[in-house]
Amino acid sequence: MAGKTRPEYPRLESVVIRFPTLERLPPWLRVAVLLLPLLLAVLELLGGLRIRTRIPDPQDLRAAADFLRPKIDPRVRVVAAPSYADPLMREALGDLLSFAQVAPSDLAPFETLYALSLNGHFPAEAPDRLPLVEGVFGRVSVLRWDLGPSPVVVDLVDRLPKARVEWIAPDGTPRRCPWVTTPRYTPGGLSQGPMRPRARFECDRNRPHLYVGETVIEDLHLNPRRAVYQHPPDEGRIRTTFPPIEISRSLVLYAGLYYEHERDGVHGPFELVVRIDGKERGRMVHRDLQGWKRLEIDTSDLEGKRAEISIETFAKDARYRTVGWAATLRKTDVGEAYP
Amino acid sequence: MRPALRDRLVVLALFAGYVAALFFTEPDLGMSRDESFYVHAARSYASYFEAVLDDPSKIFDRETIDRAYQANREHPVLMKNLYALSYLAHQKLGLFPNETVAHRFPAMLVAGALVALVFWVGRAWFGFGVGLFAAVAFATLPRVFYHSHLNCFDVPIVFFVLLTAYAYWRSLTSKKWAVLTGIAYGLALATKHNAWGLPLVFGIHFAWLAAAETARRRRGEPPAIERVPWGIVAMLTLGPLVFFAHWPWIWNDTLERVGWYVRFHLHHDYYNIVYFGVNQFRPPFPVAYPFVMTAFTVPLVILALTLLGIGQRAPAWLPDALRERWVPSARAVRDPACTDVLLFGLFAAPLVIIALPSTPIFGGTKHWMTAYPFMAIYAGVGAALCVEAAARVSLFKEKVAPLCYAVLLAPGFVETAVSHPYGLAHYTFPAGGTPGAAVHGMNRQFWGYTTQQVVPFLEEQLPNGGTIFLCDTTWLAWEMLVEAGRAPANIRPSRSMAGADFILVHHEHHFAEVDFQAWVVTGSPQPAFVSTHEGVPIISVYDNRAANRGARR
Repeated sequence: MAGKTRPEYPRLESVVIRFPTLERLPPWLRVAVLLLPLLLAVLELLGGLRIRTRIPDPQDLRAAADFLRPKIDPRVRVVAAPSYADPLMREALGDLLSFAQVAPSDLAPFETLYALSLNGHFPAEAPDRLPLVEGVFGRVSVLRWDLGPSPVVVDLVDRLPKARVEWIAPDGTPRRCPWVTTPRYTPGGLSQGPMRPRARFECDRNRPHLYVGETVIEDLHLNPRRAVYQHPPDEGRIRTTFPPIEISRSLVLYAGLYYEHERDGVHGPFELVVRIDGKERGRMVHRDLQGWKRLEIDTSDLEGKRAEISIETFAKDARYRTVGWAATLRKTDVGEAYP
Repeated sequence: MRPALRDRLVVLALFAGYVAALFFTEPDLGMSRDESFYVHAARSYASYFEAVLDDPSKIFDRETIDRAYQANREHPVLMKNLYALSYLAHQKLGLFPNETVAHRFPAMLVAGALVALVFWVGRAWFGFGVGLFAAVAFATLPRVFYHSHLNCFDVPIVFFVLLTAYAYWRSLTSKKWAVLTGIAYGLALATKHNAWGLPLVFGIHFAWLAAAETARRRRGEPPAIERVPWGIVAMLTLGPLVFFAHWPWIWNDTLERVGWYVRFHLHHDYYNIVYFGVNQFRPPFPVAYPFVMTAFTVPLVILALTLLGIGQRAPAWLPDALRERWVPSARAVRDPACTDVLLFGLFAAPLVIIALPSTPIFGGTKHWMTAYPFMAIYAGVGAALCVEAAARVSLFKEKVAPLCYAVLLAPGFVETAVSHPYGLAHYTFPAGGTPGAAVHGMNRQFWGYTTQQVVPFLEEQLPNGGTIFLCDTTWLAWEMLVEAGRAPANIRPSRSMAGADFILVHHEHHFAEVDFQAWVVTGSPQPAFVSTHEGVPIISVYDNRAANRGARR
């Protein structure tokens, strides 16, 4: 730039450009549009006030829960609506609720569904019909849906302590897994998987994940599922056998994996076989991303007879196969809808 | 009062007012997970400063440097050095009420400076009213207010990005400002990696303005602006030098260590965050995420004003010739700096980057907070239009402006006041508030920062002390609560859930498994206490004492 002087540029301190983009509108409309934010501000203030005045009073929630307490028995499912309030519901009523009631696979074990409803919300589990309103406590209502007689006759998870658990070697040799009640919990926390229960069948002390016991597993959609944890071994299979039980018309089984071990969809499948008196009656091949998968087995030919039921889990590659299953015997036919 | 003096007084008032607001609300805020990592780092870096003060010859001593700066080398250290110096000052002089405040105070000062700078930039670009509105609107964004308390980098990087942007804008006509741009950019690089993309944004802007300037000169008009991007040149030269100079860790094995740092962020882990009920943990992430979260966490009126402001300013993006053809009604004062292009670029770039399906989204709004000062300036433009319209229809034309500004800013004040100390859990009116967001399945918190809110319950239950399982809160975060006198020293963290007297579960979607673990350990799905924000559960506390005694199951 020799021989040239640097040009004097204007100072860039206050660049004000006016673009009346709304100029084509009639003046009254232009002013109205420009005043809209003021209206929105007032609306937002009032809206925020309304949101906060609609927050249920904890006293009302407690009153609704107290009203509901005498109605709760094992055939009752209690939920909160919206579901985010579930911890509040459990804080008020959790002492009356079992894992079977707060972490079921479906509604079949229940004859009544109650919802502690905040501001009239319906729960996702509700049948497609209007509920009975049993009580109103401020902004909390107690809603009831009658589901009809439960088809569930036996819940195999309940019967786990009476079962026999064996690790079946590849050559078919069974080895008993003893029932232990010594605490050997997992540390707990994120990514730790289902909590190992105090009482369980322990198949290998050196591989503490090889146990069979009742726990609550986080399924693919992060829902709680009360289940029998039955991780397949590297070789062979784990078999849980229940002493003779009167068989009903169908056996409905759900199985899945701990969320973090399924969500990537990269692991091999596990298999689960249901035998009645040693004969295979149903088989599930569970692949990642199938979630809490249902298997229905027609047992109507054995209805009324007593027989041993066994459930086996195995996998070609058993790494991260944190399997949980829940099974019930039902007096409904396969495919029959409930409720 | 002279405008210059008035403006400086406003700067001072905004700075002091915001710092005071942060300082006096800070005691309500429990320490978050990431803050505790930076406390650990700051303590470690403090050992370097102490060693150098004792023996200045150790300033370049590799062993001293490596011992101190090994901690938290995934982030540069400008802010952590300030936290370390503040911590040292507290140790030596007892400047602060407790160590937590000592670590947080430098970040609060930067947050105060940021609010003042928003005013300054808004004033420079669009006038006093726009600047002032923008500053207050920005300060009263609930999530900004939360993050402004923390000894992290998310608000400081907003400050340094805005500072660099302002310096770059000034550099378009001043070489002195070009040098300052380089230094400011170096400080931004030294704060957080969000700064990496700035040269690209400025580069696009400069190409735009250079094309416009060339076209003007071809038409025979006199030069209006420099066509050499001295600011960018300084950013690319001085910036790395400042970055290098500020971080003793990279004074040795520079390429290897800088390479590690860069690779860490280019290949960052994907963490969990829930969005409309779906736990997002790997790409592709939803493109709408930053836009929806902005809409759900910023007051509605600010969003509306921002859109109004963008609509009002949009024709200014056009080159002169196109603007004259397409928007002939625009009364334009020529702006050779293409300020509107710069403003829109700085507003949109962070949102667009996060919207890319491969960009991690686990940080919620904090990762695109660098857009918010520019959003606030747009809102200021919209507010000015709105107030002007109100004056037209009002009988009290001169008195209407303060009232209108107050009404437009009121939702932000209210939402921010209500949100505290649950800033990350709080959602605004468009989401239906916090309960609405919970119904939609939006993230309720991260970093385990809400533990302080259950301390009164724990104190009541454990008058003689005991143990707790902390869930997402780190041990050091708990220790900082104890150190600050916000939790009793006789309640200690437990690594084992089963061994703890009480189990905390932070309600963040992917922590559901911890809830279920607590059921199995205690033998009951009943929490003993649930802490809430606007009626939405934030933490469940399970009593494990009976199970520990073997009374259950």
